[in-house]
Amino acid sequence: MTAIAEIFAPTGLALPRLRSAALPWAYLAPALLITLVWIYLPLIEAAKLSFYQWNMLPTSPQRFVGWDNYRNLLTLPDMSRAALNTVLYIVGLLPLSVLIPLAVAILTQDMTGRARGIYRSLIFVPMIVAPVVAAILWRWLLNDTHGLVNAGLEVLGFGPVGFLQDPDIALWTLVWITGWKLIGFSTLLLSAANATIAPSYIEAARMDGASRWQVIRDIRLPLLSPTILLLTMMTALFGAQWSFIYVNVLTGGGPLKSTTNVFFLMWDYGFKTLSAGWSAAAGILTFVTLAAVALLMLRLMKRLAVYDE
Amino acid sequence: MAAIELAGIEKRFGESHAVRGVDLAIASGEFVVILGPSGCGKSTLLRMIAGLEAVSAGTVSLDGVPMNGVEPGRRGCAMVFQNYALYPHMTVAENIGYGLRVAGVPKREREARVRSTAAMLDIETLLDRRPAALSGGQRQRVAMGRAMIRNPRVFLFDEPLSNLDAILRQQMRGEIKRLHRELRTTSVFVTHDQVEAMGMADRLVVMNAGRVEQVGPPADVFRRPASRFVAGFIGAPRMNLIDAAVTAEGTLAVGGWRPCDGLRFRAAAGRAVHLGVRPDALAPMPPAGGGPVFTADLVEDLGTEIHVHARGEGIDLILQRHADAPPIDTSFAVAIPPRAVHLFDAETGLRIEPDAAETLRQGAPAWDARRHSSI
Ligand SMILES: Nc1ncnc2c1ncn2[C@@H]1O[C@H](COP(=O)(O)OP(=O)(O)O)[C@@H](O)[C@H]1O
Ligand SMILES: [Mg+2]
Repeated sequence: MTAIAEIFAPTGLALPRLRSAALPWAYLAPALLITLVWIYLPLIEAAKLSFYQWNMLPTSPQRFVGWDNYRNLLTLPDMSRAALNTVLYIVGLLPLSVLIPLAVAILTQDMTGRARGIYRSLIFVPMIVAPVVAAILWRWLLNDTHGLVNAGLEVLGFGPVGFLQDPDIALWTLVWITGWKLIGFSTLLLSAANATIAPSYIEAARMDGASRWQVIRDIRLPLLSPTILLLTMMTALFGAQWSFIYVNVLTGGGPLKSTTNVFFLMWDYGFKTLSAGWSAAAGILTFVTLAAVALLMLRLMKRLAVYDE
Repeated sequence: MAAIELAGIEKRFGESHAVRGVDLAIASGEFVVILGPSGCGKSTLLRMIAGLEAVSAGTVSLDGVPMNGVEPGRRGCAMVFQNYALYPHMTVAENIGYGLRVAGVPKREREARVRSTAAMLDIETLLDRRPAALSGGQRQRVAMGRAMIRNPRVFLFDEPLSNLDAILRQQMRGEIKRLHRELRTTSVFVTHDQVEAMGMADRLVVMNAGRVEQVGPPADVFRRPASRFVAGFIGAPRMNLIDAAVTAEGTLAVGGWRPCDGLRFRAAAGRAVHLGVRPDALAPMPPAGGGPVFTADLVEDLGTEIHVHARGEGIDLILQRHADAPPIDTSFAVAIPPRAVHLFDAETGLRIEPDAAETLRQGAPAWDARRHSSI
């Protein structure tokens, strides 16, 4: 009797077990499918394209060129300029996407009532303005002859500044516009994280004799470190990408290619000069670099970030 | 000079009035326990001593110096929080030494003091761990160490044992008392657990609804509760409180029943009162005379003692009997020894003492103020 049961039991059990193992995958399938179709297939396609020469016309042939695209890219001044600018964008964005929001989140933590409402709307409005609208708005504001900003500077006794025309300044103007859009989001994230810090830690530190600044340095900042590192990583990975739309709308990479970056370069190669192979090669280079940066930062986060239980 | 002096302390949170006028003097070296139900304002009072909460009115003085407006870190108080509030990103050593670090104590001295504090608490082996890797009891000790290291004038404890299991709680209770015996630091300990309070206090402060109901040594508070609230709150099982009235002769009447006829009280005739008797003072006896007859409704055998829930003629009583006492009859009357009577005014809730002279003259058993209140 038991022997029979033993023989039959496994098959009897196998079906439900199989079903319960398959179920999560069934739920995940749509997401996985979308990721596959929109992320991994294009990535593979791009990796393949980066070894070909092709002008994007469906009828024209793709010619295999080996590492030529990469070799050309790496020797081209365009690419190194774009790479350097990408770094400048990221470095320039960090104060706007991390430092200022951090300061704002901590300084406004005790705000209540009306003041809180006003401050919140002020800081979050840029976040919900459509990027193209924001770009046009800033173009008006920063216009070197009729713009409000230059008018203000003139009152203060400064000459007009070519915010979008001066090759030394244009990149920082775009950094500012990109960052201006980000401050709200970062502040939101940091304020939320700051609000979850248990008040008893702060009280314990106050009992220990810590000053206001010591409480921030020794308690708040360490407990905010996961969010700070997350925002830093997001800025490093996506910062230059976020500025693409403003480069495209406001400067087109100029003047004198001073505002271009790798994302704009890719787009420029791909859709303006129709050199798909170069564009793909630039994309793959960027992907590999950013993947390395991401891995490094994840490691760093694991090491540095402290999590409350 | 009192180590801690509270004068007319009030605290309002908007509409809610959490502490309503507390006056209390705590002597240097004393271990005072503040006991009261949840929400009665114990923590708020403690936090006002610490300086974490500003007083709405009144004065907090430490060693005779008014402390209103003085930063918590400058009051010389140390606090152990209910959830310990150990800094999660610091090791045990850093947690304990943080107060010294912000005070600018050099590293070498700091390490030595952390080590000696840890030794006192038996946590030297844990110094490099983070709080997440500690058990509840170990966290408790670290929190104690963090409080002790700065040699504070005052220890403040806010229900520090309530997150521990029963065995550990008992053990830590003993350890805190032993530490107090060694260090002799003035301590204020807040709890809602009466066993903890009775066991630890030099002096017990019973609070209710933002006010102090009674202050005194635990035994006094137990034997002579100053109000109906204290009577009902302290003691388990809870004191029986029977609705009664004072007769024209000053005796007690529960309907037609005249329990403890020998006692006389000086109160207006017809005054509504509550007659309190602890469950262990009630003696069952065969039904006779005019007293109500009770029937046992529920019997709980706790091993060491037996609780009998009885009801009769609209009165619910709990009797506490020895485990080896003979089983109780299904219906019985109760005798209330005069010495076991606590009387409280129904309106004010305040204790009414028997009239000693009158009681004696009526030929009741020899009455002595101390013995009278000893049950
Ligand atoms: N920060 C606060 N804001 C508003 N009400 C509070 C605050 N802290 C405590 N209270 C109120 O004050 C009363 C006493 O609280 P508390 O001192 O924490 O009681 P206990 O420690 O005795 O349980 C409660 O009714 C509580 O709701
Ligand atoms: Mg409390």
